[in-house]
Amino acid sequence: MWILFAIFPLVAIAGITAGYKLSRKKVVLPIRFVDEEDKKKILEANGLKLDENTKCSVCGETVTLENLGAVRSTPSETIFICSKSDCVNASLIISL
Amino acid sequence: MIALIASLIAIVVFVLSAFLFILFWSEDSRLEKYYKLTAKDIGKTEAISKIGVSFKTDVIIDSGHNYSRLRTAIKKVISRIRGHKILDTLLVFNRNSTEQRAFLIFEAIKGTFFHIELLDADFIEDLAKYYAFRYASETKSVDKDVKFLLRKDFEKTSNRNCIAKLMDPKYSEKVVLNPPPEIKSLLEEIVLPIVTEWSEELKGRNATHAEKERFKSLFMENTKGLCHRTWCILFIGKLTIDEYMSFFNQSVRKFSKGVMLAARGGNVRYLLELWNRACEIPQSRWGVKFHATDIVYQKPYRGYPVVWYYKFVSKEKIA
Repeated sequence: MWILFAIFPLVAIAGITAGYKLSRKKVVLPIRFVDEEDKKKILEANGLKLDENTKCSVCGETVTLENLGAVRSTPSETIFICSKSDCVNASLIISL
Repeated sequence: MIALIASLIAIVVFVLSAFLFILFWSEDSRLEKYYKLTAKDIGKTEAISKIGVSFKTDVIIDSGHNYSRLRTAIKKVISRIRGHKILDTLLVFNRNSTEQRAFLIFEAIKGTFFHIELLDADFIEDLAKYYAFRYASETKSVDKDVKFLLRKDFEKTSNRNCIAKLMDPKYSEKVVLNPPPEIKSLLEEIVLPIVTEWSEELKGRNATHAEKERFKSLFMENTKGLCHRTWCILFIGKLTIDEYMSFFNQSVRKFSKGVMLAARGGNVRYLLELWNRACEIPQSRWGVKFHATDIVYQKPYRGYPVVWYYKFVSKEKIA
C-alpha cells in the first residue's frame, strides 16, 4: 500500500513530463556531412545528376562536382547549393 | 568444437558491432549537442529572451557510415513517435570538423531569427552571424578554431559596422535625445523588440504582403538611419511639452531623414500632444514635409500591461 503511495507521484511527474515533451513539437532536419571521396557515390545513390544547367539556389552560380556545397532532394524538387560559405550557411533556412 | 568457435566468433562480432555503434552514436551525438546547447543557451541570452523567440528546430546528424545511418533511422522513428515533423535529409559536402561545428552553431542561432519577417533577409543573416560570433566567444566549451571561423564570417558581413554601432551603448547617446535610464543598446532595446512585437501584431491582423513590405522598408530605413545618424529617437517622458518641442526642433535640423517619437503608458498622451503641436506649425518653416507611421502595441512592463507607442516621422524635403 505504502509503495503505491510512493510510486503514484513519480508516475504522475513522469506522465506530465512526457505530455509536456510531446506538446513541444519540433521540425527535425537530418543533416548528413559527406566527405570529398564519398561525394560521387552519394549523388549516384540518390539518383542526382549535375549538368551545366544546375544552378546554386542561393547565388545562381553553375554548380559542378568541384564546387558542390549542399544538396536537398525532396519528392517535388532538388535544391543544389554551391560551396561558398554564405550559400551553405543559407541551406538550412532554404530547407525549412 | 566448430559450433563453439562459430558462436565465439558471433559473440565477438556482435560485441564489436555494438561497440562501433556506440562509438558512432556518441560521435554524432556530440555534433547534435553542439546544435542543441547553442539553441538552449541562446534562448537564455537576455536580448533574445526579450524578443520572445521559442526554438522549434532540431537536427539529426548522420556522418555517412552504416552505423550512423542505422542511428539516423532509429532517431527518425523516435522523432515520429514524439510527433515531430521530419524534413528530407540535407547533404552537406566537404566540411571539416571545425567547419561542421561552426555551421551548426550558426544554424542554431539563425533558427531563432528565422521568424523575423520585418527586416531584410541580408540584415537578419548578418545579425545571426553576429550572435553566433558573440555566443562562441562567450562560451568556454567552443573550440578556438570554431570561434575564429565565426569571427571571420561576421567580419566579412556588409552590416558589421552598423550592428556594432547599434550594440554600443555609448553610440546610442549620439542618436537618442532624452533617453530613459534603462537604454543599453539600440539593437536589443529598441530595434529588435519593435520589429518582433509588430511582426506578431501583423500576424494577428492577417496583414497583407504589401503591408508587411511597407513596414519592412520603414524599419530598414530607420535601422540604417540610426547607423548613419540620419534618424534619431526622442523618448517622451517627464519633461514639459515646450522642452520636447525644442528637442523636436533640434532633431529636425540635425537629422536629415527622420525622427522616431517613443512613449509608453501614461506618457503616450504627451507624445500625441507634442505631435499635434508640431502639426500646427507650417511645415514650410522647416522646409520639410512629414510622413508619420504609428506603431502601437501592448506589452508587459515590470509585470503590468502597458501601451507602447512609436511614431515614425519620415522627412521629405519641400522643393
